[in-house]
Amino acid sequence: MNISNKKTNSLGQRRKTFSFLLPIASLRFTLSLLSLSMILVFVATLEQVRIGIRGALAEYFESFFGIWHYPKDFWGGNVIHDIPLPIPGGYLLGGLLILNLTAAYIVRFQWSLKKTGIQLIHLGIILLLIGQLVTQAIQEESRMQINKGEKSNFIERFHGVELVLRNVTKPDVEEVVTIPQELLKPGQILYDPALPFKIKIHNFGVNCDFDIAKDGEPRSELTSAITNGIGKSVNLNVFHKDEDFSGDAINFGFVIFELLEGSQSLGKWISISHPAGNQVWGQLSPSLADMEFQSIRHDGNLWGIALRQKREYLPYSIELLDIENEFYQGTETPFNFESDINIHLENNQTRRALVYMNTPLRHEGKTFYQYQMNSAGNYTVFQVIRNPSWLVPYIACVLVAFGMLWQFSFHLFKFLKKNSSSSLKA
Amino acid sequence: MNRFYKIILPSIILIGLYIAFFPNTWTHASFFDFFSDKEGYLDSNDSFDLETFSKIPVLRGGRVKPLDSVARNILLVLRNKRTALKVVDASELDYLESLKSKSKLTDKEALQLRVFSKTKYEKIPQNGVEVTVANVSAIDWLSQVLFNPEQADLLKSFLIDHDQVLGLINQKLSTNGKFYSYSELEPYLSNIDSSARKAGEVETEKRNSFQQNIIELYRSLLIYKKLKHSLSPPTPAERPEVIQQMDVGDLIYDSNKDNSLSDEFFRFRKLTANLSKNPSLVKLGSKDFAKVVYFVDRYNQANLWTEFLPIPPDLNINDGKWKKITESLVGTEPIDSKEKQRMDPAKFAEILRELLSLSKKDLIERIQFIRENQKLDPSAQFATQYAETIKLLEGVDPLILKYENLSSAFLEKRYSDFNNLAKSIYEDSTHRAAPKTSTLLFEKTFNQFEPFYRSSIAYVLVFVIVSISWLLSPFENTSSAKGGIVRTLRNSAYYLTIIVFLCHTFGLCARMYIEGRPPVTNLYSSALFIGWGAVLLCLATEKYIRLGIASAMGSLIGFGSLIIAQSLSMDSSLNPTGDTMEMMRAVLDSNFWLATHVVIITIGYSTTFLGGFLGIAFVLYRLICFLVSSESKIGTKLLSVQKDANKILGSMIFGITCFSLFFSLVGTILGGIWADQSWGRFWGWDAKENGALLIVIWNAIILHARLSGLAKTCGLATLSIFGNIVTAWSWFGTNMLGVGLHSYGFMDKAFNPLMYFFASQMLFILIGYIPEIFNFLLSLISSNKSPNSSQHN
Repeated sequence: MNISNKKTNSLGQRRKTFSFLLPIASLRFTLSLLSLSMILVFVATLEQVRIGIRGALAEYFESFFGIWHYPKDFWGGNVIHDIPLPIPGGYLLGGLLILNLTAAYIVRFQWSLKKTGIQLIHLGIILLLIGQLVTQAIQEESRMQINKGEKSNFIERFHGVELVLRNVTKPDVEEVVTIPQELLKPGQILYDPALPFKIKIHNFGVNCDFDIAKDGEPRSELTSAITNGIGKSVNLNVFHKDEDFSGDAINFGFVIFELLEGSQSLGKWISISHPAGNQVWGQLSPSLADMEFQSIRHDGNLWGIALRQKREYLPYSIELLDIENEFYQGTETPFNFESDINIHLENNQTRRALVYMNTPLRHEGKTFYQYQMNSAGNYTVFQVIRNPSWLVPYIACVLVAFGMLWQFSFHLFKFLKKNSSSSLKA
Repeated sequence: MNRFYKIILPSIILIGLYIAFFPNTWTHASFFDFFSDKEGYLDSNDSFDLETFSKIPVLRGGRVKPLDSVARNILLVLRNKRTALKVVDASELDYLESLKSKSKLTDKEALQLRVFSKTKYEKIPQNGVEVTVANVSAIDWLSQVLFNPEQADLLKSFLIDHDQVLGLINQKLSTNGKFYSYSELEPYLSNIDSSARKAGEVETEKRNSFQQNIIELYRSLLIYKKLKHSLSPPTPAERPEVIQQMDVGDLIYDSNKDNSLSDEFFRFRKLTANLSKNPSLVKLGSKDFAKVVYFVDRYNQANLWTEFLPIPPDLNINDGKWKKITESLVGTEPIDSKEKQRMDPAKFAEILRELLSLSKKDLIERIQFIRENQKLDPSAQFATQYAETIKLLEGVDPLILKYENLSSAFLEKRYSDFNNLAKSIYEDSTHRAAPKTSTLLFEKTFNQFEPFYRSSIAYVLVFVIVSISWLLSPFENTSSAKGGIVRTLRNSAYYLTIIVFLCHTFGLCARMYIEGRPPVTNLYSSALFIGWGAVLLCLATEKYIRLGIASAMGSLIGFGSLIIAQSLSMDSSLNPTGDTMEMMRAVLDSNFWLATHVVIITIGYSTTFLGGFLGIAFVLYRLICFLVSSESKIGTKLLSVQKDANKILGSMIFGITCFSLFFSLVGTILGGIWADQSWGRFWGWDAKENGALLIVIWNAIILHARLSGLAKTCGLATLSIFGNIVTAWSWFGTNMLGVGLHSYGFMDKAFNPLMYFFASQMLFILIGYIPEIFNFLLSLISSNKSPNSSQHN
């Protein structure tokens, strides 16, 4: 009796000290937040059909609120569709839930042995929420494509491009200047001490439609003013297009830029990045092969310019030794995709590894999992994920598991005890 | 009276055992058949031993299974039933009927009568009049399709119930019913083909019901045609000028001269043996070589026309590969046959000559090397097939000859020959395909035992018994007394549930044994498992709270989930082969995670459903209490126990919601761990993941609302009913979106049923508040009557 009094007293004490937390800690607030999360998750799932998983992530989960339009083809859609409905986003609800739970911890929970289970569960949930918020903010997803027998030492982002200028005059040294997507704004003039010229951005888009116009036909507005490079030699039509966020998104980023020496123009170029890597241009059409490297001679130096998916170079490289793509006999159901690889480490050591379904390669904080495979083209594609907070959910899980075991076994015993005593009475 | 009560319990248990395990009229095997003499052969001279024939192992859909399963699965796709129909002449029926009254029967007549009494008959419309049709068992149907296609074409094997599709084949549902034979469809094949082609150009999600149905019919016809040729490869008539030019007139099959197709195979083997001895003959312009090329092409074509692989792995090669009939002669094309256009004939011949000069052992290695490393060189790729055909694949597989003899024995009704051959093929095949054939006999008996069909019938019975107990309870004074009718009925329902549950469990375990997998591998098995889990929990609840509520709701969910499973197995977009034990896609191929994450999350589904159904029971009970007047005898009785009943139901729902939260949270977290293990991310907001998260959040809402006192018992019940909607969305709705990693079963046929389900649940929620709504309206009316007083208030 004494002990429990003490506990309630401590709770009372806390309630007094942190009385400003009481409204944030209320259970009604929790229930409202949970109900809003139901709406958020449901709407964001529906929206995946329209804007894809990455689009839904950006619009709803990785934001404070998103705007939703009731789908037109649903019941009554014609009327309701035009009303923009604000949906609370993942950052907002996640953040508030963390606040709410933490506050509840301080001013609502009894810190007693009997309630340890509940506390552990909620602590686990807080951790899960924090872990997910952190992950959402810093996780990076990229892809790595390797041809059989070849090596690769970089990964490419699914979204985001960069303009790269390479000075390849000297046979053994290559000077590289990369300009990130954030700087590619129309009207911007970019300087870099390593560059002998300035770059003026005329136009930029994260995605575009393009085709090759027939001879003699007028070009699209975007490409009509281009004076150099592929944009001149090939009759390109380019049109702006919204970014595609779907799972198998194909975004052709493009940039139209002018090189300036002082105030004198050296010409206007266009460069388009291929989402599967610029080496694919050559397979698409020989006339577009130069997208990988549009050459510019300047002051006796040879420069190559290209827009490409944003790259990250790794301190190690991966060599694809072999791929295997097996199907159940007499069916088109695959039962194994497997890449046999060598990892060439910095210290000239080599490590052999197999990457297949449910068995990714984990190396230096990155996870490489088997994403796509083309056995006719002899190449493999890994999806590469860097998630420094990967351990957090595991800790959270252990907490939740312990808490649940504690609490439910407590209840179960109580229930069984009650029933056995009641049946005895009968 | 009391004595009468005493026999209720044992007799219901007996009925339960009869439905669940004993031989009965609905199924073809009983529980005892699993232990009976399995290797028994019918050594009969007057009938075909289709039992043995049905055990023969073949490979279909990536899995070794008995012909019995093949027959059942295909019929399930074609006709949504596991039988076919045969139109019976009225005169024949009269004759068979007359046998019954005949006193002395000959052996033949006795047999006819035996078959007659076993066969099920039904009536279907045909040209506006009703005709009698006999049910043809799956294996009987398959034997006719394989060996006597002309007869099989007359059997009604196809289900067409879409009026526009029927219009296309010039039929009406009212005059001709929905079952059609191949011969009835044959005149319209080109119409069906062109309509299906056009429908195929439309995206899957945008097809209307006609387009879906015509594509289904087209696929069914394709399966049927392929099935016909699975044991007897097609022998297309060759144009005379080709025969003359290639000089193959005396080589290809001639039904007038040859006994069987294998004669052609042997002549082909002679050609290849000759080339194997003299590799120098392999060159452009060589007649011997040209003939081989001709036949390889012919057999490559035939390779496309087969629905299952009948030739088990060769024990000498031991590569575990099953083969089609013609594949055993020429192998398969290593790359797409369109690539042949890019082939350089001279280079091809040169590579082939070089390959043939190698020793067999070197050749095998060399073929392996070329296939892996020269994928872009069609000349080399196709040369490997020819090298394999000429030098490695020798002779004609003895099983081909046996199957041919089996076919002719069937046609000529040589019963004992057929039976001996079937036995010999069965023994050879099982020997060659061991150890994958260890579950064959079990699977065949399992097919006939139909545990889920049995269970669904028994679940209905449980529900009926409990309902009767409820109806009787107001009339009995001592409802809780031992020996009372109500108590007896509830006890019998409880024991009956245990019996059905055992049968249901046996079915699940049998599937696990056959597949070698955890219980849940696809949507179909998740339905089986959800029912199972709910019933298990109900049994546990009913053990302590013998009110019949848990039994009733358990049987309802059990029955419902089995019906859902049944309709899922008939959905041809979800289950195109008709086999519910399909192979797992690569990413799902992990028994550990299937056994943990998938099983636990599915238990979470089933407990949430159970909570929801108990909620429904609560609101209905509340409605009844509200409706009965307190003046009648029943009314007083009901109302006197209402408080207790509410309390019990409330604590039941609450307890089960705790379970739901536990299982759905643990299952979801395990799913996150699986995702992290295989993809390097814990959570990806994938549609199915989100669905699971919704269930977790909803259960958390229910618990917190109840704990905080914001929701009383009625609120708890209606919240739980909404849980049904959330769970159904997560189970089916997310698959309908067709997005994400988990969209393993795209199905839009379920869209309407799902919407009806949602609507019905909303209705139940509304019913939960009828007393409040009624009282509210009442207060409005009374306030209208006395406007003055309301103003004062």
